[in-house]
Amino acid sequence: MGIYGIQQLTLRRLVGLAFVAIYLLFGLPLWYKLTSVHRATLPLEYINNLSHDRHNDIHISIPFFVDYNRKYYSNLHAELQNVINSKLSTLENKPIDWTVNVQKMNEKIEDSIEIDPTSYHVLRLKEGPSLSLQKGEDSTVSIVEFDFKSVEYDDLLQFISNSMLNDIFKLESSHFSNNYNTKEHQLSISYNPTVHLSLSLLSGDGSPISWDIDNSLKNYITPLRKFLSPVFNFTVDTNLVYYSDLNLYKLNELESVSVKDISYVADISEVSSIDDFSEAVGLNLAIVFPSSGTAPTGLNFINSTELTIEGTDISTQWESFVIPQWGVLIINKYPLKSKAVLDDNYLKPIMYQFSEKIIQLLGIEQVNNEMTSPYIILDSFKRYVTVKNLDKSLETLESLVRLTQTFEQMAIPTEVAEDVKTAIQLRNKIIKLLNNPKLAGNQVWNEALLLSNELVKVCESAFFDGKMVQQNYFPQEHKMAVYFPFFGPTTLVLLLGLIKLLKEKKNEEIKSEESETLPTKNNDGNEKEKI
Amino acid sequence: MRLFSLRLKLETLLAVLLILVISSATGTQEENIVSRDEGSEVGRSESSGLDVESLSRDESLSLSSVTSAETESLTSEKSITSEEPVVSTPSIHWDESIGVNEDVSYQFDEKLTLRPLPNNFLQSSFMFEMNSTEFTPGVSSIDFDKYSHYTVFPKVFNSILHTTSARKLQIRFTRGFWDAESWGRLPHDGFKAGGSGVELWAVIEADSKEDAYLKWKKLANLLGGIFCASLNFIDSSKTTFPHTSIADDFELPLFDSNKQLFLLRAALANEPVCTENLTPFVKLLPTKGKSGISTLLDGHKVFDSYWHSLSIDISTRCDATSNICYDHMEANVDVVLHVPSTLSRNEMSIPKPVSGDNLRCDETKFYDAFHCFPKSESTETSYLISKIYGRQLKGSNLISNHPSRVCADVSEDWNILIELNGEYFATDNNCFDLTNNAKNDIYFESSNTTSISKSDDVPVFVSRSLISYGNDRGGLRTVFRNPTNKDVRVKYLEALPWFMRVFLSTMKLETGDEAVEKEELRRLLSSMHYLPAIDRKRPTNLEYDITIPAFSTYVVSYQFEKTLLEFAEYPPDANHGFEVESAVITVVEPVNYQIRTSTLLLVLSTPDFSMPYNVIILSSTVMGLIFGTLFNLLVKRLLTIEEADRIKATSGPKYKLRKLKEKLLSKFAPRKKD
Repeated sequence: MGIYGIQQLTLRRLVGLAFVAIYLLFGLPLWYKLTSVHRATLPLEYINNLSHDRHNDIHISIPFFVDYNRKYYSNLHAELQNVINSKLSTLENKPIDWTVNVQKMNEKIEDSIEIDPTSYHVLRLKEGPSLSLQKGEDSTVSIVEFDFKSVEYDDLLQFISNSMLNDIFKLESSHFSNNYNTKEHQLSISYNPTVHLSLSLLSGDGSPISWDIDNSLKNYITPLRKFLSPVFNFTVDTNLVYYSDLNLYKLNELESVSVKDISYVADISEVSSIDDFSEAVGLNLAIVFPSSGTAPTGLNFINSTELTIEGTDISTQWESFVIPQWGVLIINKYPLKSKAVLDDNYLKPIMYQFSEKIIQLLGIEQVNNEMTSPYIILDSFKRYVTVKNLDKSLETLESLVRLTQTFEQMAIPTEVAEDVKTAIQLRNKIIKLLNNPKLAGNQVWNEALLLSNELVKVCESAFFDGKMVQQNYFPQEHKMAVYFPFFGPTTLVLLLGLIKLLKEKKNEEIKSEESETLPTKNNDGNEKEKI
Repeated sequence: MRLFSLRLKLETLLAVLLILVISSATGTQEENIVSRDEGSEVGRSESSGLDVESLSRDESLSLSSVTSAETESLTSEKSITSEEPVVSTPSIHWDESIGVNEDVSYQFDEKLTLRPLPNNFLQSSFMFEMNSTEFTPGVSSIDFDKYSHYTVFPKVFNSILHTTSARKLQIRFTRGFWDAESWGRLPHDGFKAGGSGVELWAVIEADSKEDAYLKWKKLANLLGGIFCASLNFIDSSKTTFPHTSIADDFELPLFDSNKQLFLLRAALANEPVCTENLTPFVKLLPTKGKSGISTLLDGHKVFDSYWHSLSIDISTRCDATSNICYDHMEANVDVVLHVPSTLSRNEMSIPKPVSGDNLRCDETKFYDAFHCFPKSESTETSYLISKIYGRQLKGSNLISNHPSRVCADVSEDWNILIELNGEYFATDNNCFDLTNNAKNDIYFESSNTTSISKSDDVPVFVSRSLISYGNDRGGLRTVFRNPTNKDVRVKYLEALPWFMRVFLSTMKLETGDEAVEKEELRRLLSSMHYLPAIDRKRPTNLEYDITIPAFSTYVVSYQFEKTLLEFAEYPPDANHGFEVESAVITVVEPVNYQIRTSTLLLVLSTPDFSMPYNVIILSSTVMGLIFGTLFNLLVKRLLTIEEADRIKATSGPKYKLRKLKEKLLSKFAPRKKD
C-alpha cells in the first residue's frame, strides 16, 4: 500500500469533507432560501421609534391673523404671540405640541394674498361699548369689541389670548392639551367622509301609517348637510317598518329606563343592518311606537320630554335615547292609530334633537357655541380628526409590526411593504402640512384630512392583506415531513460515509490495534464470568 | 305441491312485510288509509283551535247544504267582513295628538291560490307584489336634497340595485320534483321556478362586459349575504351571458345612455334550500309574516314538501316622458305538499307502521291478519288548511287598500269554505277576500279527489341524461317530446362546466321516425349560439332554437370529454361527483312556457389524494439512492482484487465469523478445564 494508500485516504477524506461542506454551506442555505416564507423588509426601527413617542414630530402651527388699527397699537400681534406662547408653555404634559402663529393682517398681505376670511382665522379688533368676543357671520372671523379708552392694554392682551385659547381654539385646548387620551369618544363613530343616515319609523302594529318626512328632512337636515359638507357627506334614506316594537313592552314594569335596559330587550339590528347601505358607517334615527296589542295603555316608563325650540316650549310624549355609535332612539308612549300621519308638528322637535345628536355622534362638539363661529369649530375638528387618523394609522402599523414579529412563519408580501412605505410617506406629507404655518389655511386642513383618510386606508390594507395569514396555516412540521424522505437518506449516507472515512486508518495500524485489543477483550470476558 | 304452497305463503308474507316496511319508512302513502268516517272523526277531535266540533256533531255536515244555505246570504265577489276588527277595543290608549288620514295605503298586493293536484297533492302559490316609491334616476345620493324613502319595498334592495346598477333581478330557490306528467304545467307557466338549487339572473347596466361582471359578482355576494345562500360561489366559471332566452322580453330603462345592458345568469345546481333562505325572504315582506297570507309560511311545512320554489323578481320601471322610475318586486312561494302524509305527520311526528285495524286492504284479494294487499289512497278527503300549514291565516295585510285574497282552484267536486269565529262561509268563485283582522281557516272537502280543476296541457316534456362510457368520455342526450297537436318551438339554453369539453361536431338530432329526412332535421334545429368554455374562466354556453312537430319525440345528443382537474380543484367530497346545472327550455310557440331539466351528476376521475406525498417520497428515495452511489464511488477506496482478497481475509465477514467462533470456543475451553 505504502505512500499511495495514505495519499489516497487523504484525498478521499477531502472529497468526503467537500461533500459535507457543499451540503452544509451551499445545499442547506439554498434549500432554506427556496423554501422559506417570503418576508419583505418593513421599516421596523422607524415604526418602533415613532411608537415610543407618537407625536414628537407633530408641531401644529395654526396661523391666526389679527386685524387692528396701527394707530392705537404698534406691535400687538407680536406681544399677543408672546402671551400665548407663555400660556401654552405652562400647560404641562401637553401630548400634542400645538401653537398659534399670530400674524398681523396688514394692508399689504391683504392685497397680495387676499386672505379669504372663510379660509383663515381672523380676529378683528373693533371699538365697542364693552370688552367682548363675538362671532362673525358665516365665516371664520371673530370680533373682539372693546372700549379703547377704558381698557388697559395688558387686559386687552389677556382677554384676547384667553378667548383664543378658551373659545376660538377650545377643541385644541381641550383635546390636544390635557385629556387627549381619555375615552370620552366612545359615543361617536370613527371618522369617515361619507356617512349614511337611516331614519326609520317603527310601529308595533300592521296598520298603515305615514309621515311627512321628506319635507322635514329638507327643512332640518339639508342645512346640516350643507354645513357639514366640507367634512362629511351624507346619504339619507327613510323606511317604514311594521310589526316591530323592539319588544319594549317587556320593560313596562319599570318606572324609567336607561339605554342599558333597552339593550336587554331590543334588537336594534332589526332597524338597520350593514347590508342596507354601501357606506362604511351609518347613523340611525328610529322612532318607535308600541303595539296596541302588547301595550294597549302605552309604555309606562316613557315620560314626557320638555323642549324649547325656537323660543317656544314643547312637551312631547316621547323620550329620546342616544345609543353610542348607533344613533338616536325615540320611544313613544302610546301606540299609533291606524292610518295615522306624522306631520311637521310632530317631527320638528325630533329633527332638532336628531341634528343635535348627529353632531355629537360624529365627534364634533359644541357647535352651538355662541362665542365662536361653527366654521372655526369645523376647522378645529378637521385638525383633530387628522391627528386622530395619524394615531390610528400608527397603531395599525404597530400592530402589523407586532404581528410579524410574533409569528415568524408569517409571510410579508411585497405589497404590504410597499403599503407601509406609502403610509410613511403620507404621514410625513401630512405632518409637513400641519407644521408649516405659512402653508396653513382652510385648504390645507382639508388636504391634510383627505390625506389622513387615505393614510388610514393604506395602513388597513397593509394590515388586512389576505396573503399574510394564508401561509400561517402551513406549519413548519409539514415542510419537514415533505422533505424528510430526501434529507433522511442523503444525510445518513453522507454522515455515515464520513464517519467511516474518518475512522479508517492505515492498514498496519488497524492490524496492530486488532492484535492489541483482542486479548484485552478476552480478559474482560473472563472477569465477567468470574463475577 | 305442499312445498309449492308453502313457498307461495312465504312469498306473500314477505310481500306484506315489505309493504309494511316501506309504508313505515316513507310515512306517506299508506298511513292514512283509514276509512273516511274514522278519519273525519279523528280530524274533528284533533281540531282544538277551531270550533269544528259543533259542526261535526251536526249530522247534516253534508257540507253542500251548508254551502248552499250560506252562499245565498253572500254575494259572489264581495265576501267576508267581520263586524269589528279586534284592535279597536276602547281600552287602548292611542296617541291622540297625531292626526289620521283615511287615504294612507301602500302599493302592496298578496294572493294565495290553493289548487288540489291528483293523488292528494296540494299546490299552494303565495304571491306578493309591491312597488317602491318613485325616484328620479341620475341624482347623486350625496346631493343635499336627495332623500330616498321606503315604505313597503324592502330597503335592503336599495343599496343592491344602486351599487350594482341592476335593472332586473331574478333569484330562484327551487328544490324537489315537479311531476309534470300528472300535475300538469308548472305554476306561473314555469317563469317563477328555477332549476334544482339556486338560480340568479340579472340585467346590469355597465360600460363593458368586464364592468358588468364585476357588478354581477358584487350582486351575487350581497344577495348571498341577504338570503344566507352560497351565492358567493358564483364566479366567472359559472357565469354566462345568455344570448337569447329571457333576454328578449326585457324593456328596461338605461339610466346612462353611454352604457349598455348585459344579461347575466348563473346557477348553483342542487344547492340546498332551507329555512335560512325562507326567514330572510319573509322578513322582506312588509307584513313580516305577522298578518295576511305570509302567516302560513313556516319553514317546517314549506320545506317538508315534494316540490317548493321561492322566487323574487325585481325590475326597474320608468315612465319615459316624466323620467320618474320605481322598482317593482314580485315574490312568490310555491309549494306542493302531499296532504295525507302531512296530516299523518301532525298525528305522529315519527312515522310508524299503521296498526292492523287501520290497514286498508284490497278486499278483492285474499287478506287476513298477516296478508294485505294495499288499496290505493282514499278519494274522499276533508281538511283544514291550518292542519296542513300548522297555523291559521291571521287576517289580512292592512297596509294596502286591497285585502289579502285566498282562492281555491278546484273542480265542482270540491267544497271550499272559510271558517271565521266558528262560522263557515262559501262563495261562488271560491275566492275569499280577508278584510278582517281575525284568524281565518280554509276548509277543503271532496268526495272525489281525482277530480281536479283542468289546467292547460304541458306543451313539451324534456329530459336530459348523461350517457357515460367511462371516466374520460361521456355523452349528453336531451329528449324533447311534444304531446300536443301543434308544433312547438322552443329555445334551449344550457351552461356546462368547463371540465366538460363538448364536441359540437358530434351533435346529432334524431327521431324514431326514419321517414324524416336529414334536410328536415336541419330545418328543425336552427339559430345555434355556441360559446366554448375557457378552462377555469368560462363555462360552455349552448343555445339553440328547435321546433318539435306535433306528437313526436326528438333527441339531441352530443359527446364530451372529461378533463382532469388540478389537485386543489377537487372539492372535499370529490367522489360525490360534480353537479351540472339544469338546462332552461323556453317555449315560445304556441304558448309561453318555461321548464328546466333536472340537474346531472357528473363523475370525474378522482385521483388518489395521497399521491403527491407518495411521489415526493418515491422520488426522494430515488434521489437518495443515486446520491449514495455517487458518494460511495467518489469516497470509497479503489483496490485491486488481490488487495481486496487480503483485506477480506483479515477483515471480511468470513474472517469475523472465524474470529467469533474462536472467541466462543475460547470461552468454553476454560470451563472444560474446570
